[in-house]
Amino acid sequence: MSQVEENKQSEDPRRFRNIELSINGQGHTLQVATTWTLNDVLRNVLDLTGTKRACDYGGCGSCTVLLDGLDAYSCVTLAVEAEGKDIQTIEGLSAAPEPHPLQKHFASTYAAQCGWCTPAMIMSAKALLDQNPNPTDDEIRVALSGVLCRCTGYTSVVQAVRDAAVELRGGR
Amino acid sequence: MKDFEHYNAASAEQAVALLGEHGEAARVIAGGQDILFRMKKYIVTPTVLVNLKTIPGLNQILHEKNVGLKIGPLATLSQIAASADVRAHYNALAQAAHVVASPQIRNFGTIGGNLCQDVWCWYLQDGFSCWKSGGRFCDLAGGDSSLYGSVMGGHLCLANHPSDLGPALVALDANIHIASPRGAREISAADFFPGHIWVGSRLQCHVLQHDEIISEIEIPFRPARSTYIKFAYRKSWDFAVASVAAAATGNPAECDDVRLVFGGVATHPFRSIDAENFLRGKKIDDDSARQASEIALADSRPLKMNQYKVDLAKTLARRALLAVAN
Amino acid sequence: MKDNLSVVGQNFVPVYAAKKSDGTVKFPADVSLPGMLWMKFTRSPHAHARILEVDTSQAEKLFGVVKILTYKDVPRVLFGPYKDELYPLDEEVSFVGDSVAAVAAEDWNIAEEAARAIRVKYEQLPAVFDTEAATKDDSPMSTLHLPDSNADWWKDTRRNNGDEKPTNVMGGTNEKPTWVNQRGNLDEGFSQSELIVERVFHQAHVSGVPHEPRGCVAIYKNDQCTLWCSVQDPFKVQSAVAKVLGLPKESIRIVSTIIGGGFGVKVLGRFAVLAALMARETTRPVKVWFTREEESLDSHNRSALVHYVKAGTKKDGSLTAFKVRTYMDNGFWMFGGLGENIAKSICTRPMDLYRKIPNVLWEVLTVRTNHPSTGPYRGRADAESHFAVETVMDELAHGIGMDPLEFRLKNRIHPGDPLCSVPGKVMSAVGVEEAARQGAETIGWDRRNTIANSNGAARKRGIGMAMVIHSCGSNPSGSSEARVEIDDGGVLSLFSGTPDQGAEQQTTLRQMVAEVLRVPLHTIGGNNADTSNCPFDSGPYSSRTVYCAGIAATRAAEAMKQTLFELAAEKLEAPQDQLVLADGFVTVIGTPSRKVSFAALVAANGGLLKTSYRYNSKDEVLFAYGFAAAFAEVEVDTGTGEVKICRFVSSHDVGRAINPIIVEGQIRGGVSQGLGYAMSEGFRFDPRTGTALNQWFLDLKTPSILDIPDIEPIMVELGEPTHPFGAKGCSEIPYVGVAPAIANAIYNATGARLYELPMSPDRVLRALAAVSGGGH
Repeated sequence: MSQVEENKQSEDPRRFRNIELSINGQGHTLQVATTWTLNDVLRNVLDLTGTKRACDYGGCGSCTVLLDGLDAYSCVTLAVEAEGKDIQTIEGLSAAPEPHPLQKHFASTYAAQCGWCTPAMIMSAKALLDQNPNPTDDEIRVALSGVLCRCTGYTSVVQAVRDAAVELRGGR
Repeated sequence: MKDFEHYNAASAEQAVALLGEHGEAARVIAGGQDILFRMKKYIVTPTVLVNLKTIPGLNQILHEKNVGLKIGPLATLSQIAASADVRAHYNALAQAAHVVASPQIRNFGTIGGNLCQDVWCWYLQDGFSCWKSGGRFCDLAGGDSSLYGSVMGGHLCLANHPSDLGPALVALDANIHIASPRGAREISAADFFPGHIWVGSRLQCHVLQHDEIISEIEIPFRPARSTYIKFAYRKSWDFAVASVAAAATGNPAECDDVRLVFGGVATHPFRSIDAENFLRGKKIDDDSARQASEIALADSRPLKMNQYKVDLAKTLARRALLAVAN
Repeated sequence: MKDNLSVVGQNFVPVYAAKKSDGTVKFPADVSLPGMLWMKFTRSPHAHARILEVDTSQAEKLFGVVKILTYKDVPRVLFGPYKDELYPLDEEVSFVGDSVAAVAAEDWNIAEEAARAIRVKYEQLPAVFDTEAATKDDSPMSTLHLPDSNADWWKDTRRNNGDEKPTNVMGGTNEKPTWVNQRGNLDEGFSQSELIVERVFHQAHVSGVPHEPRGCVAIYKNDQCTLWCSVQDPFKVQSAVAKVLGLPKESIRIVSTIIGGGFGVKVLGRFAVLAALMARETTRPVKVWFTREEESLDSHNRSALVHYVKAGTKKDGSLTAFKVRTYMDNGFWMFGGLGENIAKSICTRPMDLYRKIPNVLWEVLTVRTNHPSTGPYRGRADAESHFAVETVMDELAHGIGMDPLEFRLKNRIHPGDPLCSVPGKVMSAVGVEEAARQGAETIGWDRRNTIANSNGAARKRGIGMAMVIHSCGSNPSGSSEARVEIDDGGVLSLFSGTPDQGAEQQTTLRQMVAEVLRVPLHTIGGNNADTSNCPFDSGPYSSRTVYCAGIAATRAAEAMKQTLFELAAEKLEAPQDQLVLADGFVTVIGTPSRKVSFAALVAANGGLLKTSYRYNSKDEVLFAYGFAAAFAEVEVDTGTGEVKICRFVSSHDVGRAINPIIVEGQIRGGVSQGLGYAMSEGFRFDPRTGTALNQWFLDLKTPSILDIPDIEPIMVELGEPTHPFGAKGCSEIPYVGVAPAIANAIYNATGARLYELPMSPDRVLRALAAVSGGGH
């Protein structure tokens, strides 16, 4: 097959729009195609690759970010519809000089095995702990029920959230 | 996905006008949890999306004591599940909202979207024939019906209706208000789900014309005890393999009125009037609940591999009826 | 086994854990390079077909499309992990989802649109889906276009080779099984039996479902090619890419990034080779990132199997005879003859576990079909066999009124016993009885006779068990080399070619090295598998890292210790037996002031200190295996068929846990996958077209956090003589006993037996109906 020649090609079918996204407290002015999801923009345009994607259809949770404090699937959120929302990703937690207690405990309990679901688990846990600093184990499980993990069997994940919650409450 | 123009509607009128202007090339987007995966899988290929989330005032949950509940179509499932009013007086709806999919989907999925969602069936995927993606026959009919499939027959498409809120709303005698360029209209929740019908070139499982949107869901207050029981393979994400919404009024010894509605077993939320008639005036107990469930599914016509859904649905019906008996 | 250890046996925070928790680990899908193109595939909708024509004209016209490759555009060079048997693209497609064309474009959506715009004309060929039918003489062949086929290979669909009698049976014929394990005299055995059980078992395919869809980024420049690739066998990818590109191996560098879930299924495939070819063709970096559908369609699943079992025992619990005929759906691709290797393990390992059975005939037919390839998914060969074996053991025990635990232990293997799975070797240490008894105590095994009566009618509780064997790194053992270096700054590094797929292999290896060389763990350098600076390792298969790579790393460290002592003895003017290591120094015992740093010894050596060791198991007679016992407590809802897993105890003969928290995590993870295999994950194909039905998570039905309990791991540490720290690999065996333990628990609860996997609610209801009326 020959290399494609320019004069044979159709027009760019992508519909671009200029948008402003607020991510981890920082504003970004971007030109995005209407078909791009928030996940596409985070990963492929802004190189914020901590947010993962295992399916692209809202079926696994790896793409979880916080929108206005609520956990959401970035893969079924259009980028052009994420304007005006406060978007938080795992990189927001990493910006602090010390690891966030959730990050620390996920590491020490081996709740991060292959690491693919870890940012999503941590963000879901953050959404929970921001609303409910003293959750029961059942409440932790329900809050994290939107992220699948193939590696851990979940026990260490629940433990990490529990331990992080204790630390965030000042050890009580 | 196919590339598309994206419009943020400022009002219901504008949304309806945009839908009318672009015809079948346009679809609405609310939470996005249903439409986007279908676009990514090329099941539907709209070239215009009309965003309803930018319309103000459509996400309220208003309860008027002894009168009823009004919910805007953009109220999220999380809001509905958490609403004290809904839990107190329209329990089946709160329970249904709580078991949809996963927290992330509930946070942004809307009640309007949940009612208008289309079916899921693995024959919707590439390589199969499906009425919903331009095919001319239903591959489920002669294929693997172990998970997705009606046991009560169906027209053309045999996939079961996946909504959890649908059965709850039918059991609560809800009405759906519709904004339309041909004048606002109102329809009962039961009539909102016709099974599968052609609307233009779309085979869909709700009655909205392509240029109409839901403006309000309204539930008249009744002093009913209601519940929603869902059975799925997994306790997160999964659509119901079978589910039951039940509501009953009257004292425990003799129920005045009862509603028994099934999800996951038919191409629409399936209400059994016969079972309800049987129970009216009776005490709901083990025996009457058992008989009612048999009556409800007496006309079942399972597919090759989903006979078990019939037995499962009967079990759930018995349990739901006993739960609302007192 | 050493007792005075300070690093081995401790719960150090794994090496890559922090980077996984802050999201900074870069997987191939996370890599972005200037000018990078996205590559997507057009895939076959037919299970078996010949490509007549590929029309790329519509795709070429699309904005942003740069290059399209079809089978006519790629080198006609065979590659493969063990045998060279696959072309980058072929004129024959052999399963639904097989690669037909590759498109590179400016963004991912354009590439997707272009892949869909390619129009392909096929001539459909007869497809093979049923393994038993595929072994009949009138069956079509699942693959016709083999390397030595003639030009009109498609014309006779029953022949795939001019001379031999055609067969879909790998390594065998329609009459001769792929593998046979035989001992004693079967007829005699059955004539001595006082109870005989005959059963048929059906196990569905199941897919690995790693959460990271596989991907790679390829760069080609100046006849050098680099791939960032999440694969478990980077060295095999290196060889394959070199072969297809026609370049020396040294020109190819594979950087195996952290793998987002491997489980045995992220291995060499067309995608890596095609990415390299596309990078060369376009002279731009090329990224491939599978969609979830592709990760389901074009992966390596666990085979579907049918087992016909007949087994006999005496009333005193002595097993007398065991006869099995197994049909295994291998999928279209042989994956380098592994189909034969697995057949061997299926029919021999359980018969090693139950060494006392005197009369055995187990035949396995590995059958090629037009389903996607199968491969070494976690617990391979033993997950395939133990559901049948452990169910039958349970039935026999109940049939003679014997405790199922005692029945199993009565017939088990002992140290020193000869092994039929590895002829010429004898069994090393066996900790299965200790593991089983501890597990039994933890679950409360004695409750099983009373528990079923303690609940109301609708929901019934029961306890069941399984006892299992699996490779601990020993079989197949592959090859592992490790290299230890100390640089001018005195910094110690370990280089091992084993990639991290979530089991934190580098952590475990570094702990062993730290123990020998007495340096703080966090100071040890090295990197994840990279063919440019790591020595060869076969990869994390058969739980081999702790065992094989561990032996290699430990021996390399011991050699380094010897080298350091030789140099230090001179420097410190002290005999070697008076020297000791501490914190990066060699010190004289009793006189801590007489010491010399590693850095000084490197200088004394005139530069970098380096030692290597390559593990080779061939000369050992003693052979190690992993053993475990699984105990499940379930609650069966007899009205819905739902089986709630109330408790799951997984007790393991691990030899020694190098890092207990990692071993526990692997046990829990293995069990959780095993629960999916047992209950919900059956990977189905449409019976008419052979198309996989479960392509995305909603249908893959892997367990969510609400579906499984806190799994209870037990690590029994009795050592292992063939490993310097007494350790055995343990990350796969937790999967193996889950399904039979649950099936046996369902029996204890309800009296109903299930002989099919998965044990989905509909099947549970059917089994319940077969015993008596269902519940309420």
